[in-house]
Amino acid sequence: MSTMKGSSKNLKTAVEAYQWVKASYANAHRAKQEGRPVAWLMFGVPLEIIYTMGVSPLFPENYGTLCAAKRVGYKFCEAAEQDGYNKQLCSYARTVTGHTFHPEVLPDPPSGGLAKPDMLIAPTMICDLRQKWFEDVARRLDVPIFYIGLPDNDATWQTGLPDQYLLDLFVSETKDLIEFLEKTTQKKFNEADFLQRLAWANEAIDLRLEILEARKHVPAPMGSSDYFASIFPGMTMLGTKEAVDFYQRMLAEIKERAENNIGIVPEEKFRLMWSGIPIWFNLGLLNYPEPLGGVMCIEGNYQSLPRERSEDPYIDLAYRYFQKNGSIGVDSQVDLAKQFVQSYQIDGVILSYTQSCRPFYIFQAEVRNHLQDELGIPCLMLESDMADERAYSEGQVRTRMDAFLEVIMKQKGLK
Amino acid sequence: MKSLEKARNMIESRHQRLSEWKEKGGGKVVGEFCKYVPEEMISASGALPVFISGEMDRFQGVDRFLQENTCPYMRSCFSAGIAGDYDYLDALVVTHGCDIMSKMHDFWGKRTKVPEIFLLDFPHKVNEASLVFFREVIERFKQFLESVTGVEITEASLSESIRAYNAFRRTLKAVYDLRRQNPRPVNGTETLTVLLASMLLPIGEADAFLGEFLAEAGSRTDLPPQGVPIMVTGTDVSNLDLFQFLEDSGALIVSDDLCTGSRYFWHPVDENEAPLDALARRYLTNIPCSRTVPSEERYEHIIRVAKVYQAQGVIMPIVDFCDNHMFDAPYVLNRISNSGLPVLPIEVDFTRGGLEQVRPNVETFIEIIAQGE
Repeated sequence: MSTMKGSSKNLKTAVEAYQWVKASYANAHRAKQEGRPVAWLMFGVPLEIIYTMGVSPLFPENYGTLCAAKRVGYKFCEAAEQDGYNKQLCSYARTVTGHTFHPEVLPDPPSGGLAKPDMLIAPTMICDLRQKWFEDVARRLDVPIFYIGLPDNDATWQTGLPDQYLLDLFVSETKDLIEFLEKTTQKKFNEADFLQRLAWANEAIDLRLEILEARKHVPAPMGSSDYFASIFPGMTMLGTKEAVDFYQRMLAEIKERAENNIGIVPEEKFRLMWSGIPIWFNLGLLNYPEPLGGVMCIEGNYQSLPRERSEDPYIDLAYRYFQKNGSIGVDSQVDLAKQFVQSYQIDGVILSYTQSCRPFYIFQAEVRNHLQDELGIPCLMLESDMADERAYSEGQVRTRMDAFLEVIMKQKGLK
Repeated sequence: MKSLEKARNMIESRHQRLSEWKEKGGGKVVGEFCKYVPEEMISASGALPVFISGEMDRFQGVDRFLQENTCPYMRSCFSAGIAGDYDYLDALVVTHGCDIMSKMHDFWGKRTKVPEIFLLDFPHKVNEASLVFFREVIERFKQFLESVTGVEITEASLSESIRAYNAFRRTLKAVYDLRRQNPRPVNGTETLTVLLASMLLPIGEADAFLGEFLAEAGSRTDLPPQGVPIMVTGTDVSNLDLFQFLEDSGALIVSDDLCTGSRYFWHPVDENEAPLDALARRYLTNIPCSRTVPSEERYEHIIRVAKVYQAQGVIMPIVDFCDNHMFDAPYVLNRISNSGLPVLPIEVDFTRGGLEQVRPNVETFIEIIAQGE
């Protein structure tokens, strides 16, 4: 049996979420036709501001995942490599670079392709490459770019709540972003609309927190395949009523399943955590343990986490950025993984190790060391790539997964 | 040259020398990976800033902590760290020179014996808000150093330190300018050797040491082979094996745009501004590193330095997994090429064996330039 396939989902809402992905690309194409501005954004831009300004957002990183899931990402990667972009570079960046500058590679790209941007916005967070990538696109397409210059989030991990000078830089850059958008779109920023959108964003975040809590239930009411299928509204639609409504429905569905003890498999025997970026061209891997009664029931990253709130909207946005657990410092990631393992009663952890991504992965070995050494949790480091399927070895992945699942079953006395 | 011989010995025995220097009451030692650390502040606290650099082929013990897809240069530095080579450090200051370097804050903190680590949050974007922010970062760095050393850093001591570093930068520029002469009395490997050795000395002694080299070079009779004048750009790796390899292949490295080299001495710190403000401004608005946006000034600097030092070609070593330089490469290669200079990118995995793999390319590149003369 090949492990290369799409995931199977258990929640109706998770299946429904894909419509938002398709709508996002279609909306941007429509905006172009109607003469409304389209912005390419990196994750981390305060979306309330973008929606307030009537700008249609596109997320090239997400397009990297979509092309991978549709099994065409590697074709674009190859085209980018022909232009001199090294194969070691981020496969999302290679995918989108290939797609943007070599559309001939695939004349009918997923969701009609990325509409051309009128502007680019990149926060200087998560990794340096995101800035370099957008700088390159801005230069090659000759469109304006705005960098949101942010402090390193790692720094705040040590001090808890961010100090004033960190907040000051965040607020100053956020206000400069608004000014940039006003200038680029020739439209005035509507503060009242922004406050409404911020409220919706926080509502959606709160719902996601409730979902996170509800997922502690045994048997797991929601699996990782449902989770990864449904992160799109949370990552790209914060500040819209649709995202709130979506997560309300999802929470209700999860609660109902929990109340009725409906799990992912008929009889849940062991619980796993997925750490790292999923392998987007093979999300079926998230269901792989299910025939043995194993459920991938929590993900180590991509979570909204509890944080401080502020009445001041700009400080509130800053708190969201500086949230302690969102830091990609090594200690914060280790602590987070330990918390998840304990509170979700995890028996084993699969750590994806994607070759073309560094900052998101540099702490993976230490996460494994701490989980194994301190908590005695078996861990599997699964080497592949997030979007470039040429880096995937079917035989190796199956062998390693099988051996790992065997260890867990023995440890649980299931074998 | 005596100074050159001395420099080689200093580098060879650097860890022992620094430990002894401390034992003899020399003072505290503060490690750094990046030349965007305001060393003036470290020096003003009475401590000695020491540049940590990697060694080719040295990765022992690292795999347990860092995956293979992390920069081999930082892996090599970390290998030395966990082996205890740098146990004499009283503190380490880490910048976000790249994503991997910034995480060394955590890794060295967890897995080495260095007792105090400071994350110097260098802004990614150059503007007024970043300058205000960076002024505060430097103020906090000052407080950190004062607590490590127990020495109060005053405006006067900082100003004095700034003057000393500016003097060093002028001497370093004079050392670089030796390679604008014809014939060239020194080569790139020799220059880097004395430079790396000077980074193990208190700033006054470092300046005097470069001065010795400068004087000796002026009357040197045994000139190095006058290879094809080449400039080095790319990943900021000031590695002697790499420089030696390029010069053994027929180049004479006339300059570079490395953070230890031309970007280090190109702009002084303003001695007329309040010292903390001057430091913040100079370091933030210095010719940017590849991880800082916007990049235009750095691109211009590469071409300018190549022309000033009359390079006939440019070699761009890019260390494996170096995202910033890799992403820049297609554009920068084009830009250099359009300026009329031939350019060769080489992949460096930070092993000597890896260099041998690219030797034929390098030799051919240099031969072609030589034939066109």
